[in-house]
Amino acid sequence: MKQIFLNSRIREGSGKKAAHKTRETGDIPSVLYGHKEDPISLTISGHDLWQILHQATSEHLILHLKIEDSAEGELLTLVRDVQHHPVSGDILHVDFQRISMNEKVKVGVPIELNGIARGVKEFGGILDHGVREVNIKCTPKEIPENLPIDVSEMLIGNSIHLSDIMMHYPQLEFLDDPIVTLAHVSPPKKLELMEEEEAATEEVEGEEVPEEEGAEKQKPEE
Amino acid sequence: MLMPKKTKYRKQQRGRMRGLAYRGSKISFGEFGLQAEAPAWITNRQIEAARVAIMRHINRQGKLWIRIFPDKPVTVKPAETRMGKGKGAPEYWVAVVKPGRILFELEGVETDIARRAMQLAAAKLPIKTKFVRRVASGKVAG
Repeated sequence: MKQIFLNSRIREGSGKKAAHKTRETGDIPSVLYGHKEDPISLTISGHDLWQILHQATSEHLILHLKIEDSAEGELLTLVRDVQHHPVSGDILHVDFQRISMNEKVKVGVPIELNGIARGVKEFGGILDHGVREVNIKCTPKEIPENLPIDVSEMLIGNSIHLSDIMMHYPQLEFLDDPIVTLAHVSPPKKLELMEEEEAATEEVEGEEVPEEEGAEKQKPEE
Repeated sequence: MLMPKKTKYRKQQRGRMRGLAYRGSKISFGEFGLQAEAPAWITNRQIEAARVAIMRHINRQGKLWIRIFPDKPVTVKPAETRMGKGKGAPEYWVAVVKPGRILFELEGVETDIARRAMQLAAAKLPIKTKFVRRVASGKVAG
């Protein structure tokens, strides 16, 4: 895995007001925790973080975090959480967790479906993506960027479960249920079925919702 | 059209639409989405019109998720009625949408088709929206 470095400064002040001021300058408030030590409030450069996350396939990255004017020096950290603005998508806050190279960590790894399923190409089926991220436990060195799955041989009705890929990664400890579906090819929706559905919805249009008069009467008048 | 099967009370107060949609603002099921950029009441007719527009364009391929549900009844007083004499009768249903809310999600189609389908759906809605697609770990990007 490629080593990524990020600089940070200790953040003074806490709460909404201080966080807003930090964001106004283009920086991002963040926090560092883990290893049963006190959490530290940090500030990181928004530009640097954007560049790192823009190139990454997953937000769960391993970073070498350098804290300016601190005795801690360079720390190995895992990006545990990234908060985004709901409309603009800007990064609002980042959580870093202290980790060590020998210690196992729990992390989510994205699933990547490769190829076009035969059921989709030849029979017009629909490839359903099941779970898009699986939780694993392993040492930081062993964390894969993603878990690729070849779906090209899948026919209609076929599924790939987590248990099917577990054997390819003996070094990883999977925390999710092995029966979790990762990919499934479902049959195409028949034209007739769709038309029936549309007719049914048009019928519903004219109907009124049954009134719960009993409930209304019981309600005490205020 | 979408509407609740049964309700506890027939009429509701109007309420306010302050703030942003912190829930339902990430793409959770599909690959592409249509995200609201303004607050609005979206009626069940508008949702249905948008759904039909999407389904017609994607030619019944792929999979569509409707992420909003019209669970709020709206009352209207009859025309040429004097003020007073109580609240009007329930006329239609709306979904209360705040900025950031994902309205529709789509999967199993090409990006260009999904973008055009969402554009057609957006034309049926009373608010400004944007096309978003899934990036790593469920974050959305314009």
